[in-house]
Amino acid sequence: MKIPYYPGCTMVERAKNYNTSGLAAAKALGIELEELPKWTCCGATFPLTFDRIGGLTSPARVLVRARMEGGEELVTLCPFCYNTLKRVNYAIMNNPEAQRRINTYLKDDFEIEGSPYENYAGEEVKVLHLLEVIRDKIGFSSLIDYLKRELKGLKVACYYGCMLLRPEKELNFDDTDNPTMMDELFATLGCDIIDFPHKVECCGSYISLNNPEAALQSSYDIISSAQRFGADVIAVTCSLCAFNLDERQGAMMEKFGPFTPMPILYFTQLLALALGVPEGQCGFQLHAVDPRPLLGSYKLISVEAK
Amino acid sequence: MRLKISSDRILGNFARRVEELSGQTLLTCYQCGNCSASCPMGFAMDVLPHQIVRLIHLGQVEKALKANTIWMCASCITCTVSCPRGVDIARILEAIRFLVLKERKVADFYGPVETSEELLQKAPLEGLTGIFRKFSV
Repeated sequence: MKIPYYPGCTMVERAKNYNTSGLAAAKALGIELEELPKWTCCGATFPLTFDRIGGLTSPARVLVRARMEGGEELVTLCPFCYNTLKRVNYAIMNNPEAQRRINTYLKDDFEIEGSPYENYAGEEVKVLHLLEVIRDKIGFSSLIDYLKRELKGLKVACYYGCMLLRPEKELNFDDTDNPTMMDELFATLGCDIIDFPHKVECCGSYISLNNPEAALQSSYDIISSAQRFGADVIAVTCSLCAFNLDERQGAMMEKFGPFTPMPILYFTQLLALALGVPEGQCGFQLHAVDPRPLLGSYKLISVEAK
Repeated sequence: MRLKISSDRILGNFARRVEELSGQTLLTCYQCGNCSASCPMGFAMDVLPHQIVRLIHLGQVEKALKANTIWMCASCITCTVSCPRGVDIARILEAIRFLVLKERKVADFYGPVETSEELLQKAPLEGLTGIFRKFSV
């Protein structure tokens, strides 16, 4: 099956391993993610003040583009894109003033480009995350038919972060206190699921850029919690979480004392591995904490454990 | 903390602007502190989110704006989903941040110029775009 895919800027620039492993895993499941032509930035954050309607046009433009290409669904991997696009749909649907003004902006844009424009009402294009696509179109229980290798015994702590879950009413992704979607996925792959209390805590998000000291504490809490509960690896869905949790472990050790480095992997990398995608497409070399010794020790990749 | 309260400052102009921008009624907050307890950045704030709401109630705008609260908030929306009164605290903080940024009187303004070359080269783009859109106008 073919579904339009919105990669977003980070996927093609800085989280290539998330992108390639996600595309390869989807392909192994018979899902062809077709990149949306001429996609533009989603704006990364949803404006939280009601009079900044101009800030909603950039994500709305992406959705209108998807509808023009004939898509009724749009798949994302990046939770920032997911959050922004989905909240904009909600805003357009529930705020007539926003709907009117956004459509006025976009009508001008698209008519300059020469495309006929129809009003967008916020429900024509459904925004989905790849996890939802796998759950709803394949079914986690049917994944077993596609497995090339089980990730038997790998102790995975599933970390959900903020952007996929909150606000619950608008995103309706999973339970905000105790989400289980990724846990169910990894249980099917044969992993041992590590339930830990920090699975929905914020990692510090972009505060790590202007106030690294403060954000470091939040990120360290997540890693140390997963470690206390016995995790081998933390699976994430977001490249900003990955940056905060992976890249900054050196700084954490300086501040909080040494600990065993914790590999941070995108859920798609482990899924791809289980589906028999060659490890070259998973980008395991692109991490600050090298996950290869761990994966090697479970005989999941060809590199021997040191 | 010592506060001087007068009837002409309570729920004054600033409070009205915040209500208008955020779409929230400030007095809906009954100061239970769930938002502050759940805030993942609360440990780094000198004034907690529920205290900011109270300061704005009482017209103590300078105290609220001097606090680092709005610059520690990552809009993770944990406060909003924890509020038993259904107040969208994240929107209140964003409204205050927006009003402060519009005045451009802040040292906490953070845009591309304030970002190190290393971060510009390395940080995920949604993080860079996110913080530029939140912390600059």
